[in-house]
Amino acid sequence: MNISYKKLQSYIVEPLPAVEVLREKIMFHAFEVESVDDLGGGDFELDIKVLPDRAHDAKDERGMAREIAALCGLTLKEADAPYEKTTPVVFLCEKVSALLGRTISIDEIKKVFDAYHYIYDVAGDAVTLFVPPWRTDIANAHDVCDELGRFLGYDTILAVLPELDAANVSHAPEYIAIMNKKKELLEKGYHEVMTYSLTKKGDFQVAKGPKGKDFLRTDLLTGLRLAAALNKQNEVLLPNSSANIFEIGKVFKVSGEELHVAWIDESGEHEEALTVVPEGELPIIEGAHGGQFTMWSPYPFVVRDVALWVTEESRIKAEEVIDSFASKHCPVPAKLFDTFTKDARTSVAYRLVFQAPDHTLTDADVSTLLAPLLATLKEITGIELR
Amino acid sequence: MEQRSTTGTAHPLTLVTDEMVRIFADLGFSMATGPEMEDEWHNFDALNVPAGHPAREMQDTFWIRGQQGKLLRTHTSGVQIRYMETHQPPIAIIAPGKVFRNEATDATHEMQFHQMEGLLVGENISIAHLKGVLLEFFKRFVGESAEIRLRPSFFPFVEPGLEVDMKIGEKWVEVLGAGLVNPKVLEAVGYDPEKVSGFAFGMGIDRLATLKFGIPDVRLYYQGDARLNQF
Repeated sequence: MNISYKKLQSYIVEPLPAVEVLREKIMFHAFEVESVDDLGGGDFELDIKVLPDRAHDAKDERGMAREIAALCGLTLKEADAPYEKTTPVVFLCEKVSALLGRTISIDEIKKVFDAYHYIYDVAGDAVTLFVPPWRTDIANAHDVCDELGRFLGYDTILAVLPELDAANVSHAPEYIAIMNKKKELLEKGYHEVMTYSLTKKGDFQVAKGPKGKDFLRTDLLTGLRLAAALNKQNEVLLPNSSANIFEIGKVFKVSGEELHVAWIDESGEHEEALTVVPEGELPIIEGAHGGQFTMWSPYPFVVRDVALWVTEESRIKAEEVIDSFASKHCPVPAKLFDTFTKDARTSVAYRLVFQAPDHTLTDADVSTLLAPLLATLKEITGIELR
Repeated sequence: MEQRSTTGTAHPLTLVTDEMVRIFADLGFSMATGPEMEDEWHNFDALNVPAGHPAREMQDTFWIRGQQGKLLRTHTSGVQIRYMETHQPPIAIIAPGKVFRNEATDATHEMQFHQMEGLLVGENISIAHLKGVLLEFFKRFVGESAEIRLRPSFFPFVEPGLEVDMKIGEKWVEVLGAGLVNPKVLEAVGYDPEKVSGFAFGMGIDRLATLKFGIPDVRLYYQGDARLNQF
């Protein structure tokens, strides 16, 4: 609902609080406020998200003004007509206190109900609320909790950690099977990917689905092939220089929903149902569980190989220099990809990858980047560039 | 020479889900799973969202053609129904899994994503307990300085319904929906709401991974690009 600050004011006797105070009041005690726009001249437009449970009473300007008047302790210019005591909700003060997790006194209940001009009776710990006809959402103690909790503020409830039995926790066998298979494939050098469950062909079609993605997949390999082609192109950028990938997920056949694992490597494509056994231990999956994501460059990378004749001593120095260079100029560490010994001399070859974040590198760009590295290597005694 | 890893790399959603599962296990929550192709009863009716209820419009559903009442689950809340149907309280579970929404995609919306449902049902379970569990979870997930706040909201399967925000730096970010399990949901699975109460919450795993790792676009999760696996 879009409503102006001045329009709201026109329903209320006393001045409204400042718009930012009003916004906070609404957000923490009634509805979400999507935005507040300055209309100039001291007026503002509030975009208030009225959710389905309050669609009946807060659907119009007056209904919203009624809620705001109650929250802010203000007076409506035209009060609601007295209503019949036809819809009682009986609850115990003890019950709503237990549900909210904080002691709610009878005085607090009176304060809330008086703010809304509700009709109610109190008899000891029992309260009978006669619900006004415009509040169709209040029907039981939970609904009263909602009313009390939001009005008094959820910040008045202290966090209490329940005492649960952590020693007897169990994990779903399906999840254990998934994690065991992931661990096995990760240790073999495969990278995990996830693809879409919706595709262009299958046994089940969804109604009103996006074109070309309105069938449920019957296998994982169809999506995984596209991923394999993408990763093959970027193989040298992956930590282990391997484009072997896998996915574990659900497929949907006429015979039912099945859990599958599929993987693609140098030997070809593989897919099978994942076996789930009733018991097992949850394995540890290695991962840093931290760090910040770095978006990859959309521009192409360039690969250059540097081959050297080295001695045992000069090789150590060369690798220090190359590592240092790669850490500054390359998206991935240098890789030693070839080594052989001939006539008492050792040849080593390193692969370096170059990629700019904002443009396509030319051969000249790379040669310029490489020049200082090659010059430094030449100066190390015992190194001969091949 | 810097040694290149020989092992593969896990998807960030796997790492985040695993971390969440372990934190909740430490807090005493077991784990349950359920089908991705769900029926109307478990996804809507038993959760106090009968046909024609306006709340059904809150979630854009992929209905399966030619399969009466079958759909791709819009949330993992159906797992709590399946679990309660076969277990008696007290129960404390989480339910991670893939869910689907038929909506336009952009950097913050996808037609598939992962969610983790949480459910605790027993005697005298309160909003104070919900607040305690969520605060402890976020302290372990993002750090001891984590702060959360609760705001009123509406989801038909809980009452009161709440939005939960977490403070990141100086900014409050909406991270999940939660509330006390609606007595109608407890009745639907044969529990007596006069004897037990409970809380439920639903967290977007993709969203938490995005916040944790700074991944700028949720669509990157499902492109099959292993360069995403940086953690």
